[in-house]
Amino acid sequence: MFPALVKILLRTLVAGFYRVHAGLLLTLFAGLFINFFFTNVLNQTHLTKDQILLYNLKLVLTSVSNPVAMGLLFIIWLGYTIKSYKYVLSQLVLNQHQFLFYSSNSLPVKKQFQAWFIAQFIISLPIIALGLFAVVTGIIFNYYLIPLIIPIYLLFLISGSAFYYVRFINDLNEKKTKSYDLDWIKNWPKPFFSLFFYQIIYRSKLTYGITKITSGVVIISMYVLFSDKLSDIRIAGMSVLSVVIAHSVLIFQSNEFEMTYLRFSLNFPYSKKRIYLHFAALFSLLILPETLWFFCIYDLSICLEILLLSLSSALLFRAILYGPNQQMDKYLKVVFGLFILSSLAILFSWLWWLTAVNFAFSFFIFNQNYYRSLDH
Amino acid sequence: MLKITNLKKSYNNDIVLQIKDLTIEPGINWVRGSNGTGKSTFLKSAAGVVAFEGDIELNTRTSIKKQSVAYRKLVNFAEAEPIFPDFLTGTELIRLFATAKDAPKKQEEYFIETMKMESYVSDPVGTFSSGMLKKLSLLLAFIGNPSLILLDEPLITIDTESIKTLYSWITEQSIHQGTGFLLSSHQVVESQLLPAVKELLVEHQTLKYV
Repeated sequence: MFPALVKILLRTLVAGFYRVHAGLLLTLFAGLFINFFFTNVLNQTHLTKDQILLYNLKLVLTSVSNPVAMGLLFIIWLGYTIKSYKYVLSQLVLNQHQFLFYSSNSLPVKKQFQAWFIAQFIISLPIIALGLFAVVTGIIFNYYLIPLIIPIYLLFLISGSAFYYVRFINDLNEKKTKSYDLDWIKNWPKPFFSLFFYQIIYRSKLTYGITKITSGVVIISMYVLFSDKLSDIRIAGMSVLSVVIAHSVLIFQSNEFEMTYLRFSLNFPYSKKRIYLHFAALFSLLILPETLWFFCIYDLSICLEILLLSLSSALLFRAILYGPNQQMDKYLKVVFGLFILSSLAILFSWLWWLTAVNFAFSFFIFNQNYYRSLDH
Repeated sequence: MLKITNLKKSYNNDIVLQIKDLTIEPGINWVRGSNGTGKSTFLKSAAGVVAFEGDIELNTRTSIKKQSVAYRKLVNFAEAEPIFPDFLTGTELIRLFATAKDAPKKQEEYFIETMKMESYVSDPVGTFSSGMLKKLSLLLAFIGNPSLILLDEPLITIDTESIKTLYSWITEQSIHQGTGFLLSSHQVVESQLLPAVKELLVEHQTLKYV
């Protein structure tokens, strides 16, 4: 049986961590983790069974045999731990968790450490699963040194986090306020539509970074693979659609932000048309780097066509969130379905039609559901 | 001032508030009721921040459903427990509200000065105490040229001196601008500090004059 403090930490901070980062974890899992467990090999006919297995496990075997690959993996795990650590600290300073500062610290430090260790252990389960898989695979393939270092490193990350949580909870002199030290943007104008952009800068830099890296990798891959077909609108269309898909988690988070922190604005005298355009302006701001890149490599007419397509797709993704199903998993399923349909339309070069349909449907869904969504 | 017709508000199919036909008179109205009776739900419905069945009309010509933009320009609202993006400063929030509500220039200066907020209003609201945040939220409800101001639990978390300042704002705004007020609280009315307060009671999932 878990002690009471562990139960509280699991129900509040750990559950909250997984709820908030579901999108991020899903993106990581789809990209890195699946390749880590099993890298698919195309055209396997000339390979033996053993060679296919080796290729399947290439990524994990490299990480347990090559110190550089191991270092890279360790940096990713450290990033995950820092991210979770920052999340927990940001939650601890909220009013609803202040009770921990005058209840949990009455327990012996050893008990507190145990509770925080369990909490951080469960938060770290995705990287522990990767570590365990790497260790087992490494031992089977006769690699012993790195598989020995991995559990020690993970133990160090988890106990280090637990140690800092205990210190934070017990050191009442420590400053328990959030930092707002980004002086360079402090005096920038903050029109209403741009508030989520600032929220990203202050609070969601990692999600934004992953989104931009994914987006960048997609654009550059498409550019390199199809450099001789830059005038083909289908290639440009698929690039821009991939950029919007990469931003789908941010679009989801913009809705969460609006429903939580901008609820006061429901009393603002803004028409539905204006609110719809606010999101168009926000999305244009979010994909500004990609827009500049498209202007550099494509003709002006192609560029305008694909940017309108990206805007219409993003508006459709956003409009879905005004409907009754606002959970991340359901949202991502709908986004995936729309991605398949849109890809088909792009392959048939129906970009203008797709753009028009997206705009029409997005405004229709938004217009029908905006005020109903106030109950969410 | 406020005509409520067939208002029905449910959460998970449970009716929490049902008002068949009620006209709230101009002036200062104090909505009383125990915790959880539906005071906040009523004020949020009247502010247009939660969905409900039925209609609410301001001054018999501006409907919350049919003239939603015009209605929101004339009705301001301060939540019981306000939440704002914590990176925004008090000044930036005031500017945001002033733009949205089309407020006269420098209107906020009087409120900042009388509520003694000069020392922290330019700080991020994430650094505010609950009392400081509440005062900011009350100030924001007075921004613009509202015909009706809805204040949900305006007396919680602020000190007695600030309560007196708030009462003076309400009195001045009511007398000089003719603004109507709907205040919700489970506390007793301090009728000696506010002019001609009318009392409403939320009870048995409905609202009526006492």
